[in-house]
Amino acid sequence: MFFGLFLICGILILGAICMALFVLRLWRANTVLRETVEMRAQMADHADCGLILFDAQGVCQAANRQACIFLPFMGISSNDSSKSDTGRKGGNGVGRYGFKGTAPLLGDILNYLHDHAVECDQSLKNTIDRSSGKTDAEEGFREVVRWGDTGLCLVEARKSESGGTVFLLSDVSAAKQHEDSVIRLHKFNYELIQAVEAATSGIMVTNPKAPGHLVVFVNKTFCDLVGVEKEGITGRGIEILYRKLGKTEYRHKIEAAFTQARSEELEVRFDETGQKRWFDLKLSPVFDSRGRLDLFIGIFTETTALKLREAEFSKAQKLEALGQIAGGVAHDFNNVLSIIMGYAQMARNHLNEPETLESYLEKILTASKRGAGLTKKMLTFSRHKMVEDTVIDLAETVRQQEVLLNPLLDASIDFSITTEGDALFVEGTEDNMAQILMNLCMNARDAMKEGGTLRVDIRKADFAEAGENIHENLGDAGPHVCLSVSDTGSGMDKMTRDKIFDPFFSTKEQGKGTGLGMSVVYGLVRQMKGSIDVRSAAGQGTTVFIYLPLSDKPPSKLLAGDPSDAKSISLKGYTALVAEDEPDLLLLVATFLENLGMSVIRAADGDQALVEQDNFTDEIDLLLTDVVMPGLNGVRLAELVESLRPGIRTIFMSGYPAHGDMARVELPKDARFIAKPVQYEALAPLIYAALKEGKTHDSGQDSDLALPHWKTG
Amino acid sequence: MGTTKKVRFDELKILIVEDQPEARAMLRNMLGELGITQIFESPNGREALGFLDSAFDFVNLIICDWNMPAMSGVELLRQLRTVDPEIPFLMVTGRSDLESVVEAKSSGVTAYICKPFSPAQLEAKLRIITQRMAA
Repeated sequence: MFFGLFLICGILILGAICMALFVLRLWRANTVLRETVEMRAQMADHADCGLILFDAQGVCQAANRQACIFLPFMGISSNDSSKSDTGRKGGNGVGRYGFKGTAPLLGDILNYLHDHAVECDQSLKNTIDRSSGKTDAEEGFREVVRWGDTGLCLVEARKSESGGTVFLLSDVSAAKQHEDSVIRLHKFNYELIQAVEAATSGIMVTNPKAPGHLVVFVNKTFCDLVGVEKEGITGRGIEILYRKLGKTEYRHKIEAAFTQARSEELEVRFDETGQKRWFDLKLSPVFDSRGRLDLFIGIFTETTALKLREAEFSKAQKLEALGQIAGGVAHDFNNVLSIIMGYAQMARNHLNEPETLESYLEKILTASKRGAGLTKKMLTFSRHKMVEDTVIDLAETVRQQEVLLNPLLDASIDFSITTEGDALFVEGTEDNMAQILMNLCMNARDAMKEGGTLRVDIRKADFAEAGENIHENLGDAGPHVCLSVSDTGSGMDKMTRDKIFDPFFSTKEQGKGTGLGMSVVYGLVRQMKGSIDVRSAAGQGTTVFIYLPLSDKPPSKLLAGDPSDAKSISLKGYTALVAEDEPDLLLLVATFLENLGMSVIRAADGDQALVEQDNFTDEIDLLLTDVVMPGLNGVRLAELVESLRPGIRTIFMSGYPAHGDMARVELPKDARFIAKPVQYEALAPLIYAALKEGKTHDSGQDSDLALPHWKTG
Repeated sequence: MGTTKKVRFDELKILIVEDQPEARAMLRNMLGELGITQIFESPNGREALGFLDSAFDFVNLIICDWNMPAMSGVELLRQLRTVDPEIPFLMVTGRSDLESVVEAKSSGVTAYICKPFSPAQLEAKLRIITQRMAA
């Protein structure tokens, strides 16, 4: 009995335990299920797209938060997202379009889409059969609908596994915007490239950061101008451009711009095909947002036509100047002829007086040389040639023009040229300088009808002193040379002064001037990277200041050193013709001159020296000759060479005493002489002095010793 | 006056081609001063070519003016060079600027001389030519 009771109790207790375990398990399963559903709902709520689930009858079963934001009638406002209705079933808290409190139907959703989509795709409309509420959506579809003003929504309907329909709504506004901007960018890029390709300038883009500095882009014009194929240059190193440009000078300038990451502008000349072509190459660095060098842009523009026009323009003006010069020279030439005729006639009366005869003949020769110098200068002035800029001595160039200017100025004009020392080197051409000076002096002359003073002054100048009247500041800071031409003539008022550089502006009477003079001056000064300053007032004369940058390039010729110290002397760029029949001595002397910086033409005797100088087209500055040589002796050689090259300076070398007559060769009276054995400490200063002295016999142009005052009638 | 090792001045046989009679006369006188006596004259290029055609051996140097009507010195030289590429030719030019000188030289002349020239200049040029003839 006790055992039975015990058994029953045991069974009851066991049953109770099993029951408890079962309940616990059920409770746990329910908890897991709730958590799973909650987790899924959370996941669905965090999805970017809206999800709506319909059953096979088209009744809404569930919708996530995003769906309620897209479709407010689903029962939740977009702001009320904290109260997620996700997972609630049929009508439980889910509003219904047109039927509040009941779960919405698939047809309602489609109707809503149809009514609210601003620009509903026609195909979507076609999928909706509003009267039946049935749609092709049951078969699935995918459309983009414009939502409100700016929004775009991708609506997708799919058949679910349980026979219902799943609706997916995604905001594709951002994606669409992105796609649109890519299309716009692409179009813009295309238009830009078309514009760049159509440009008349060559355009090149390079990447200086890439090894070898790569050319990343060139347009068609660039290829045509430089003469390369696009495929042959893009993607390759910048070296190919250097090779195309040829000159190392260009290379150095471009490399400097690249390494210093700065802009550079240079004029490039090609004459590969025998035809000269000019280009402007502008290089500009491009920096990224952090200020680091990113790219280089090169713009290549052909300026040949411009150059040729400038030359034509200058030619027209030159013809006008030449007309004036011709008048002046004709007048001067008559002076020369009258001297020749006068002395020739007088000579006839003194045929038996050799000394008088000789002095008259000497005067005739001098006058003839002067005449020859005049015509030579005129011919030089009249030629039209594009000469490349070189380094010229401004003071020397201006002094050489005196012979042309003098005859053009009336005797009532007191004319002088002053220079502050010499060796004021600028970059330009002698022709252009001559033209500038001629135009300025002619204007000055025309402003001084009653006579006056005309001063041409050349000196070093600080660019900053150029006043506010400066016409256009074209120059960089740095040392300059100032050429000023001032007259005491009628001057100009401000209005005239403002217009003087305009082409065809003239204050002269009709037919007296082309009005091109000052604009040509302006063009030429600009070409030399200089600036002009004009100071004038009515009745107070005019001064034109031209500032030209002092060249830092070495001049082609440079006399330097202290004449008292032979070792310090430099004769860079000068050329000597050495005639010596003793081979060892010839070698020694030539080597010595070369060490002083001279170029040396060697000749083993007088006749060879004559031929060698004829083969040499450039200037020869010095003839260093032995006196006694077989065949043509040194003195006769000097006479012949000096007749062909009037500017040359001669130094004789001889083992005989200076003016001794041992070899029956007499040196000219004022000959420069060095005794053998040649003392090099003495030779260098002697050459220095000879070269420094200037060209005493230069074409007879400056030797007007025997002439009456040049400007008198 | 001057003599050279190979061709002496008195061995020169010169044809002067010059349209101006005064210039021809002066050249003849200057050459005479240098000891040259075998001198022929032509007033223009065509006559000169005719003369050379019949008497080529009588001439070993031609002195010719650049600027002449009808046939210029350069044209005469061009025609002459088709017959004899060697005969020494001294061109007389009125232009002395560098470009003209270079042009004269490049046209194939043996030497050139610029007007106005002195006897010394003429002598120098003849010496250069005789040196080149000898070479």
